[in-house]
Amino acid sequence: MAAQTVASSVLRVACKAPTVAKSTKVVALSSRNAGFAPMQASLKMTPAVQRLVNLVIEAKSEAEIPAAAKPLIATAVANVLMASPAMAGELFDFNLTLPIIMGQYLVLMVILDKLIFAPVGEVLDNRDSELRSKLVAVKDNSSELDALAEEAAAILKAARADAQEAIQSAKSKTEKECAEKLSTANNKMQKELATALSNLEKQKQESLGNLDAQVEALASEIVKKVLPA
Amino acid sequence: MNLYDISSVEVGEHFYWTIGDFQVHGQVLINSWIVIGILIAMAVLTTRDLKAVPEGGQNFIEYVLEFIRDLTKTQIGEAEYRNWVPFVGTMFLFIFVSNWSGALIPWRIIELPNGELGAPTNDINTTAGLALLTSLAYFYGGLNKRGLGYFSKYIQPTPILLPINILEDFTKPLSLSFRLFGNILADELVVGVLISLVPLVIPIPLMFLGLFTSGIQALIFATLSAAYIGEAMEGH
Repeated sequence: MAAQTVASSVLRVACKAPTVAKSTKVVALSSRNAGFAPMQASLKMTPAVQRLVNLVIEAKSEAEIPAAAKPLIATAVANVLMASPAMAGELFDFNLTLPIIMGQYLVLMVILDKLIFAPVGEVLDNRDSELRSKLVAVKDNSSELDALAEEAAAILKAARADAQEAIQSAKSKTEKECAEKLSTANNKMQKELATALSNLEKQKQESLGNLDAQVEALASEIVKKVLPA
Repeated sequence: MNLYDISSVEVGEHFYWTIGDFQVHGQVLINSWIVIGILIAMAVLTTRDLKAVPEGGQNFIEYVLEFIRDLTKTQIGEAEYRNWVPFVGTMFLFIFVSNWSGALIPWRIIELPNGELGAPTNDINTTAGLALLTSLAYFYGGLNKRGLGYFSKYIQPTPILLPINILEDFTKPLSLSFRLFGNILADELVVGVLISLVPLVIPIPLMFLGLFTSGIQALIFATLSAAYIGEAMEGH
């Protein structure tokens, strides 16, 4: 069945109906569809649509359906026709989808604000302020740090002085000890030398005394032998 | 369903739902619900246990939030940016997840009677809706900050520019919505067409390019929104 005849039969049913408003709407819908005549040629009707359209057409001929229901059915059929592939095909088809999407977007915005933007933002802000305050506290500690550094320097100085002193004392002590030992050793040597020299002198005197006595004895002997008694 | 069916291209076809007397694009709404679901699930999972020292998912969400805050701060300025973080952030996240969902999730496996599932942002309704919200947001921001003095910017620096300044209010949402819509749709089409020609391997670089474009587009949209808001709020 050609789409043209379907549309026109729907139109006829609607025009017979008492409600003018409904029928004018169908007319409007149908005239809108008229712009897509080339596409209507390729209309493939689903069985459901076929049945509905048949029902309307039969109703027209046999008057089985109450007159009041006819405009409603006609509208429904026209809507179904609109929804069928042939009536679609508009790229820039503005309709109720637009405000629905806008509403959905606003609802989504409120939900995401409650779920993400407010709580996570709060966490971020809290962390930020916490870090900031910690940073400020650390910067305020600078005088304390200076005092600590001074103290450390003082301790270091004292320690260095102590060490110097210890080194000095150790050095002087060692030097004293060395000098003492040296002097005692020197004294001992001097004493030993003196005793040795005096011994030598004594022995020399002794030997000289012996020599005199021997010379005298030898001289007397020589005199005895030379001068016969 | 074979690979070829999965990769076939449909342009401008919609899965219509009728609500009262109005029609909506069902595939866009379904996908936007999935995207919203992903975002809320991510938010819930990563913020369940917030600590001063972050662990696990909290690192990720903090990284995301800092990124968004930086973006907003550079456009709106240190003094005012905080109130606008939810708006710009949701804009970025929604568009980013939308774009990537279109590129990463094999929607074709789910069969619709008509039209196809894809990124919500490949429908002009979504992008225009978001762009209009941006317009409302910067009008609100400007009026809230500067009162009626906000309108003095239309005759600055000289009243001769009045028409152009007024025109700008229309071109801003127009360019925002068409840029996003065009990029995402074009990306899906290019990949789709290429897949229908060469099903394997060859489209992969283009898919990566698509992921890159998707991210960039989300960033551009959010940055421009923030820039417009910042511009409206600062006095000349």
